Amino acid sequence: MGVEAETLRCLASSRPERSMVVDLRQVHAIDAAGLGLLVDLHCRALENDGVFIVANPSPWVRRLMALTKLESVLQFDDGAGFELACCDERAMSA
Amino acid sequence: MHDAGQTVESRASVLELVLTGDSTAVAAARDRIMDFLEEQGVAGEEAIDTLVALQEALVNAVLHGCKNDPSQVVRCSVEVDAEAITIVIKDPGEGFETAAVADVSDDGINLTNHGRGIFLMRGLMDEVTYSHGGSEITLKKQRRPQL
Repeated sequence: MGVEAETLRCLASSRPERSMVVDLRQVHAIDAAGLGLLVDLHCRALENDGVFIVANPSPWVRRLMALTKLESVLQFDDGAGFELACCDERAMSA
Repeated sequence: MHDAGQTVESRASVLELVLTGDSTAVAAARDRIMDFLEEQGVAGEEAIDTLVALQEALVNAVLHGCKNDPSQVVRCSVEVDAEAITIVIKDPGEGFETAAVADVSDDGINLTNHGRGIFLMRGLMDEVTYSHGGSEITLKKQRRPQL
């Protein structure tokens, strides 16, 4: 997560939606900077009374989140399809 | 000479590598080390654990030890045997106080966007030790039979 992380950060800051779902099903590795970005997005959503959902993290990515104690902070959706409307009518997905 | 910014010397199960102290050199150095580990039979979970710990250590060395200055260098030594993977990374910086790095609340949760690298390295490797005041880090992972 280098260029991709910065792209996601810029995209998120330029959008009006209060809530966001980030689908990590294609993410096989994540570093501290990537985890920091997820925390940024989570805090941004909270500040805007929105919701930030991490969808489909691999067991290994989830393990890193547990190691850094983020499992108890972030909201997860491990299902096949997440309905954006259930968290916010103005949500965006990435 | 391999990729730009690197010099490499490889013996049976030891790799010595020098990279320039700017962030653009990190990915090539990391990949060169991971290629070497793969050649030594490192695979699966021990490989991906080492990959992430290595990435964090290299980024710290370049950004904090070298101040992202390409005139500085980071020296890496990687040794693999049947018992362990040992990676030593030395930067030219003055080191740092490792206990003061993360901004962590009383419950251990860090809600800043930085300060997780050392947690990750400690969680993924069996031993993480600093020497020379923090300017040299040794990452060690015991080898485990692959299932």
